[in-house]
Amino acid sequence: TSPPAAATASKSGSSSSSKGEMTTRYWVQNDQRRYLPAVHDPVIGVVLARHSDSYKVDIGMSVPASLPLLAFEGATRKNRPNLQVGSTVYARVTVAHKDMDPELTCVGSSGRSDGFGALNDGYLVRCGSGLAQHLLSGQSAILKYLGKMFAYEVAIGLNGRVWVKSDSVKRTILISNAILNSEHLTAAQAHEMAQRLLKASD
Amino acid sequence: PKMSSLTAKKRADGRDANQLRALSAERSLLNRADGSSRLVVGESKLMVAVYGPGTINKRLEKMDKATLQVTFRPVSGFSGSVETELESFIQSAVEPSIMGLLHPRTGIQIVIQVQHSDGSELANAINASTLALIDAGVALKTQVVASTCALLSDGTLILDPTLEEEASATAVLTFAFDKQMKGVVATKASGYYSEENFFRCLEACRHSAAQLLSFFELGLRKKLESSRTVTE
Repeated sequence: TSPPAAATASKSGSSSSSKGEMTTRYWVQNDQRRYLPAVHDPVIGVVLARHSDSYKVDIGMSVPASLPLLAFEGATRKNRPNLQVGSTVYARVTVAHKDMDPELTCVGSSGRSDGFGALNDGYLVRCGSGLAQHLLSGQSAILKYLGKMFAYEVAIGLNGRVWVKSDSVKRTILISNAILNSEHLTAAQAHEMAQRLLKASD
Repeated sequence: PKMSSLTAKKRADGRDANQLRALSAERSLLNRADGSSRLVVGESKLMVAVYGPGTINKRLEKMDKATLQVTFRPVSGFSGSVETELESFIQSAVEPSIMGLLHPRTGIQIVIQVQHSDGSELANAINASTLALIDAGVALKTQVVASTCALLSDGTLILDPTLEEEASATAVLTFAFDKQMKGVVATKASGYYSEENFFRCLEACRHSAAQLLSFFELGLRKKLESSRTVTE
């Protein structure tokens, strides 16, 4: 379906729509380097500072986001998380209003951590928003294919950051390169590219 | 009777009076900028990088909207008062097309680097800036497209003048239009010209700006089509 004629696009991209029970949503899908936060987005950030009741986390925005110390699973006033400055964290955006500083949480919508929280060790790479969305959509061939070859952990932030962790440095570099290279390739091309990287690294 | 014919006399490079130079545009060429573009028009070459919406000096931030800063770097030498005037003109032409209210307290920076100068520089800078803003995904209300024309002493009007043609012209006029092509977004004129000639130039530039706009839209559409077929 196409959006109503009265609507004008403010970005260049391909239009998408999703039909719900009561409403139909339209949006423009585009690929950007600069991240603009939206509520519920999963993002990867780097802790910049620790204040008395929150962390300041860099998520690639014009201002750092604040992550409350109590926004972790099982956190209480006596039992606080122990994130160090400089550590990587996987969080969800809770406040993304243009007039306010962004806020995050490390608690999933169910109240459990749902995978959010500190990301220890591993390697962080930057990518565009288009690739991040594609990887999170579940349709990405490269992640499944890499999973057949190696055991690895990956976290994808819609703010254009991908965190990879595996058994060795060489393998981590190979996996992150394969993910970044797969951006404009079809599934078959991505398989072939991953094979070439694997051969070249041996 | 003396007739000033617009199309009979050829120009130094063999073009007709209303003929534009061969143009090529490139985007996303700088991998550290949020958006970038390169425009080659004949021998004129320039490159534009866009950064933002991002952090800005607290002194300069606006409470309700984004602040646009334009930097114009000439091909050689330091930026002087000429460049400052161009920056201010480009900023006033391009800023209204940006939806700045969506990003208060942020800054958007446009950096223009001239690589080779051969006339119509201001219009090229505005066009390349629009392309770079689109490439960066900055929210835009409309697209600003500009065109230059020069008036010669015999009353002939030539479009897209080279540096030599600009130097020998009686007047050089640059007009910037928005996507709807109705009103004029910005005008820069230098030299001597009558009111009648001003409006002749305006209409000629409106026509060539419309052609440029369709060319840019074609390029954007092609890029989207080619990237979509890959992901499906």
